[in-house]
Amino acid sequence: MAQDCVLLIGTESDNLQHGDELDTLTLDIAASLKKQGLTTVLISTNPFSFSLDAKQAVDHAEIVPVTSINVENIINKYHPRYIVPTLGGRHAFEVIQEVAESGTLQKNNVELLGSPLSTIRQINNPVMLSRTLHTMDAPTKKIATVDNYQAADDTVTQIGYPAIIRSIMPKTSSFWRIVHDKNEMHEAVTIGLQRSRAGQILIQQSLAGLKEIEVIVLRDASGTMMQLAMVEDIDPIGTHAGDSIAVTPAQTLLDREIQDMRDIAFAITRKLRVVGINHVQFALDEEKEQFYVIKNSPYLDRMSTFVGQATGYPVGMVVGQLYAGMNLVDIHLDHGYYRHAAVTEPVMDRVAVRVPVWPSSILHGKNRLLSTQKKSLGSVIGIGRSLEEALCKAISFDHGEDLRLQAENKLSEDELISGLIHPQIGRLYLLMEALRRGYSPEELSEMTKVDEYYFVELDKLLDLVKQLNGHPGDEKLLGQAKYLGIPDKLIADLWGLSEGRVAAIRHGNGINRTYKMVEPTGGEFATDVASYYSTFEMEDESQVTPTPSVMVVGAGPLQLGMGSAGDYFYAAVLAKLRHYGYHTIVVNNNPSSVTLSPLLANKRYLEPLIAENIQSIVGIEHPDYLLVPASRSDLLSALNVADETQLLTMPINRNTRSISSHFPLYNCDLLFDGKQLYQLAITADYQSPLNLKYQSTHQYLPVELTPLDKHQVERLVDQCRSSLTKPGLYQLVMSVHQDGTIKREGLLPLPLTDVAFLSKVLALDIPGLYSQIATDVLDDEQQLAVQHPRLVERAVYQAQFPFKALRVQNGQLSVKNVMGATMFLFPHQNKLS
Amino acid sequence: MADRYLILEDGSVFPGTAFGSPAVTFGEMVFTTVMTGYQEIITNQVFHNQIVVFTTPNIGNYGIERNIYESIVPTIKGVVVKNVANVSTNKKRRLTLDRYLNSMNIPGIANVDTRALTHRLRDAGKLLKGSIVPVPDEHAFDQLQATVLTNQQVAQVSAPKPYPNPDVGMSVVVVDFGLKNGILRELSRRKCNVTVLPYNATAEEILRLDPDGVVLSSGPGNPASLRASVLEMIREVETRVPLFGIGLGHELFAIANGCSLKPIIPDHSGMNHPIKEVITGHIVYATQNQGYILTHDAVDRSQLYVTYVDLIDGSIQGLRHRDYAAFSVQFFPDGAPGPDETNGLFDEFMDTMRVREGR
Repeated sequence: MAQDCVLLIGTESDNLQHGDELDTLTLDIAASLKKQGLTTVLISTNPFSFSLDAKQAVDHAEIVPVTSINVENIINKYHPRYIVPTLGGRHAFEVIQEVAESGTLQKNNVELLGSPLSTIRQINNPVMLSRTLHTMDAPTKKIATVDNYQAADDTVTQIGYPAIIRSIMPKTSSFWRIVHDKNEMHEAVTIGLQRSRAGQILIQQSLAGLKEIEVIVLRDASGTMMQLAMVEDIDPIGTHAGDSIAVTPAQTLLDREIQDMRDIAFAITRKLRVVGINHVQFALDEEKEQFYVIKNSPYLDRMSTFVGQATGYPVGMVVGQLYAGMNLVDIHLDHGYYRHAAVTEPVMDRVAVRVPVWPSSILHGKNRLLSTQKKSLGSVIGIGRSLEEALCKAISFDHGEDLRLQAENKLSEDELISGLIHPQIGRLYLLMEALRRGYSPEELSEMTKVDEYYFVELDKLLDLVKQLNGHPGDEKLLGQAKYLGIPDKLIADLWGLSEGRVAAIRHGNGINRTYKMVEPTGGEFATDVASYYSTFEMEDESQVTPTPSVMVVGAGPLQLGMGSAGDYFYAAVLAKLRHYGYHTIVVNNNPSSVTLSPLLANKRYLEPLIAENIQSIVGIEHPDYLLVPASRSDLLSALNVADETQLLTMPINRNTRSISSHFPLYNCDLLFDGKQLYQLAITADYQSPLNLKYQSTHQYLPVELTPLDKHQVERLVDQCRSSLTKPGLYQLVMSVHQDGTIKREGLLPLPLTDVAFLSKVLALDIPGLYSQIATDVLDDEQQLAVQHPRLVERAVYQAQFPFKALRVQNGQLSVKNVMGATMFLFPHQNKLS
Repeated sequence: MADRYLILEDGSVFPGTAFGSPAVTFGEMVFTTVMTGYQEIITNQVFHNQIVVFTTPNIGNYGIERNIYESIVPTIKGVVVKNVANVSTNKKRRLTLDRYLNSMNIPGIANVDTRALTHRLRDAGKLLKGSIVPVPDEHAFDQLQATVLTNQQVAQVSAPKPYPNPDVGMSVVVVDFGLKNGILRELSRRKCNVTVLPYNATAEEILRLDPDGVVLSSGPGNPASLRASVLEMIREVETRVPLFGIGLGHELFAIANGCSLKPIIPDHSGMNHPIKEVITGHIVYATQNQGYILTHDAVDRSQLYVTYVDLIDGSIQGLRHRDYAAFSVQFFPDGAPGPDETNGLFDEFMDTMRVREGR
């Protein structure tokens, strides 16, 4: 009998709602399901997905859009027994509901894993969900529909101010207003009723300013539940949770509050019969000792990866096994964990923060204000032994911003206060500036609704910066600064010394980094979770990785320009190197990065990607190879690498291609191994030529070339051959002129976005080939593969931009603003007739 | 930076910074992996004579809250942590942790590599004595070595004389072995009319109050160090009225019914172990603070059966008597801090009393 098959519903493209985390979790979950003996099929159109290419996890990749028709076709093709609908965000839930309503699931006897259909229906329909929450007495915010002023007045009296008034079925533009007193209420109700086609308004209790908390629960099919983590947002409700700085474990909550929320989270998870992971978000009103359920997400999301990295609990692996029908008590984790680790609630002896990364370059003016609409794309994780250390690590990647608050110093008092009241991008620095100007934690907490605790801690950092400023070279202060997480670079800037000099003073005074394991027992058990972070304490737990080893400096958070194509590239290289027997060491600060998957990294350092921290790890590990993104010239020049380590640059650069032409463009993608030049593919750009800034964000292949065209292209490629010396991946960009001539526009490094796309189209492991040519020439088999790539009927690549979601007008559709991409692939059918 | 030190009897020194009281104290070293409710931990009498190491890095973040004490006068010997925050947030939380500990004569030491310390305590092979001192010199070590810690913890923390906690419901006697307020809070919630008696109350003294049920409270120390009269009291009371043992109360109930316990090293304090309810197979989580464990082979099965088991260390976490309406749990079903999942045991106790009463 054929193996049971499971279909995983993936994503179309990374966007603001979900980014690289879903691909990472897909990899771990699919690998886990495959290990349980299931055949795995993944449907996705994300060219940057590594899972689609990962044979150790996904047996069949279906690169077609996630629509109900396509899902039905795939069901008819593979006859899966199970479907995983939890790896494609909300879109997957909507599609699955459609598929279910068509009767396809029932007809084929397909079972949904993770979330039963009734739950998916409730998540898709908030009214149904709130009815369910209501029947189980879960506290939700008060909401009422009224059609006259008197009823509105009564309702508001009952739910209290502030309240939100919203028109139902508005005649023209939608109307909503937040009201704080009777006058405002009166006006809003009058307008709201007038504007409504139904003559009705919705009155909602406003939760703005309350603490936002997320409880993450795991549940198995037998009903066992455990709390994976509790995450507290520093920013109150009003700022989207994805745009808030999040902290785990929860810092400012009483045990009583924590346990009450835990109870409700468990009850909801049970009621919704979730198997796997559930995220329950709460708003906590400390003054009234009341809390509200605000959101429930029974699917994998950015918090799943964040808490996985923060706790050291292997979320993807466990959820995969839960999907395969295992119970928490029966799950056996890898050798590094003790028995029953899967059913032991993780505890932490460290603080982890998640700091959002916004696409700042395209957000201006009012668009920098934070609201309930998410604006950040990626995030970084900072782990430390204190909140300060964790925060310092997370913000150390910020270029041009640091604790000196140079930009904030220049703000007028009015600007500062307005910035405090209306949160905006870079808020943390504003909070600190206010402290620096002498506002007390108590006042600031009142003004911003950020808990006083955070100000008290931030004040410690500012105080130290002030002291450092006044005492250059003071070793005692240096020790304190390092202990709180302040990077050498900032100390160097404050003291007017070089970073190297500060490091030398540090070493001279025995102020050295030590590494602690990120494991889920708080030191209670001897574990060997190969994940580390640094601090400045007594004990050092990191052991040198056995040889041969390769250390990879990650591409960092998801940002505009490359999306997760850089991570895709690294993941493929890592997979190749593991295959060759290397121990892989990955340094990254992006908690959602696929490179941190235990399938790819033997050892993980969750550290800032700055010279100081990288140098320190290189100093311990002495890897055989050190892989650094080519764009990190700062690292390349600062790192001091011993002779036995070979430094390799990876072409992980944010795309800076700037060819502009009025004519259609062809790209010829090339691989040069030092001896031979291989032509991988020719693609054509298809974006409207009217768009003058003509860049390759949309392309297709194959390209129909006339014999004359072919000849011209061959000639241009031949010319390249003579100019190339360094092995690598290249792209020859050509313009097609009206008279039929094809001219060379430039020879550039092959963009990683294109590498990801081409690998899938040609069924070639191009990153793997790259890692081969970086050290050697291609072997016979590889040469053969390169010369005979898969033929396709048609493949299309479309970049996705964040402008619409961010309400950015006149956004430039250029490579540097790419958020993600979608591809369509129509493989060539080899008909034998 | 260091201005205070934690020294251990194995000779190790952990530098740190001072908070709380400047007193020099001695105690048994234990660590807790609990991440919530530092105030409840610090005020729990179960830690009497112990220096508690928090593995969670931050405490003091919300100050001291007036409604969540677990005892009036905490008797913990010291607090060891990575960071302590100096916060008092509102009118319900006027005190900072630092000021509170100072007023209670409890020293604290912060900026300690608590992870290294935890590893040391975990791997020491025996319960270590420790001391929080201003200078880690020979004299300090001599004093530490010379210190003999009491084994009469219960006598030191139990209420010296009876007191009532009146309400209008069932009459319950709580025998105080180092009571935590959580137990009284749960009984209050169920409107029990409680009388708290000292640990050495006799069966006669208890039964004279004609209670509907008796609770043996949690408390500190080695159950074997209590006088045999306590066991006699339990053996008598369990035959007469419903009995509910918690923590040390559970350990005493087990010994009174033919079991023997052995010490675990280090003491276990946490709330994250999976605990299996034997009859249903359900997994629950609850706060555990124990220095002694009861293993499967040490249970006298003619008298008792096992109701809960810790899946990690295999220790028996719950017992029920075959003949009498008496049961006990090793963990703390009142939480504070900790999950509420086993809170229903108090309801079970109420039901048992009602059945007995025929109500």
